[in-house]
Amino acid sequence: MSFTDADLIARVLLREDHNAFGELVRRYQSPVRGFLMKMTGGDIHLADDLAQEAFVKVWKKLGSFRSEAKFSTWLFGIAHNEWRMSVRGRKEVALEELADPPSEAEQADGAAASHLRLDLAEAMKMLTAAERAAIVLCCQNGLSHEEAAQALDCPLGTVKTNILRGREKLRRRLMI
Amino acid sequence: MKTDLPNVPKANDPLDALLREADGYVADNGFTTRVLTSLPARRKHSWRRFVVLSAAMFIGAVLVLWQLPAAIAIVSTMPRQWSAIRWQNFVACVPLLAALASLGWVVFAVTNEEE
Repeated sequence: MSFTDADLIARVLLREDHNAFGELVRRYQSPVRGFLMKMTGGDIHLADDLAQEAFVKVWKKLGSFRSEAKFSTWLFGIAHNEWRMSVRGRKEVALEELADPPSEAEQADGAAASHLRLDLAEAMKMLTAAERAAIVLCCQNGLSHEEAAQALDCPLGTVKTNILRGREKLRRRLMI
Repeated sequence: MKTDLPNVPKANDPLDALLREADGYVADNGFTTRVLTSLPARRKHSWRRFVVLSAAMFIGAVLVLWQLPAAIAIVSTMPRQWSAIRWQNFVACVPLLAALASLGWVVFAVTNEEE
C-alpha cells in the first residue's frame, strides 16, 4: 500500500513516526540532492550536508507546513534556503552573483569556447545561480513557474526571465 | 498564461531531452539512514507547558482588568492637568504594563511553539 505525502505528514505529526518520515526522505532525497549538487557546482559532499540539514529542518518545521503548496515545493524552498545560507556563510560567492548575469568578459570567454561541445554539467556551471535554480526546478523537476517562484522566493516574472535566459545560454553553449 | 500548469518539456526539443537525460536518479547510499539518525526529538505539547501558559494568561488578564480603570483615569487626566502629573502616577501603571507584557509573552510562546 502506498501512502500519499499528506498521509505520511499526518503520521509524522500525530505519532512522530520515523518510518513515515523515512519514506518521505526516500521519496525526495534524489531530486533534492540532485538540485543541491547542481547548485553547489557538483560538490557532492556539500550537497549531501545541505540536503541533510534541509530534511532535519523539514522534520522540525513540519507542523508549520500548510498544504496550500505542494510538499515538494516547500521542500525545495527549504533546500534552496539552506544553499543560500551556506553561500553567505562561506562568502565564496558574492551576493550579486545570485541575480546578476555574467560579466562581458565571461560572455566573451564563453563565445570563444563555444566551438567546443561542452557537456550539460559544464554548461550549467556557466549560468548564474538564479538561472540554474530555475532551470533545474522547472525543466528537470517538473515544477510550474509559479511553484518555482514560491520555492525560490522570487517574483514569477523573474523565474520566467531566468529560465528564458538560462535556456538561451545553454543552447548557445551546447550548440543545439 | 498557463503559468500554474506543470512545466511540461517539449518532446522534440533537444535541450529538454538533454536536461531530462542529465537528471538521473541519485542513489540513496545510506542518506536516508543518516538523516533519520540525526533527527532531534520533536517538542511535544506537555501538560506542564499548557498549565504554565494558562496560568500566566489568567493572571495577566486579571491584572489587566484590575488595573485598567485606574490606568484609564490617569491617561485621561494627562492632557488637561499635565503639570500635576507626578512620577507616582506612572508607577501606578507598572502593574498594567507588567500584565500586558505577561499576555504578550503568552501569545509569543504559543505562536512560536513549533520553532
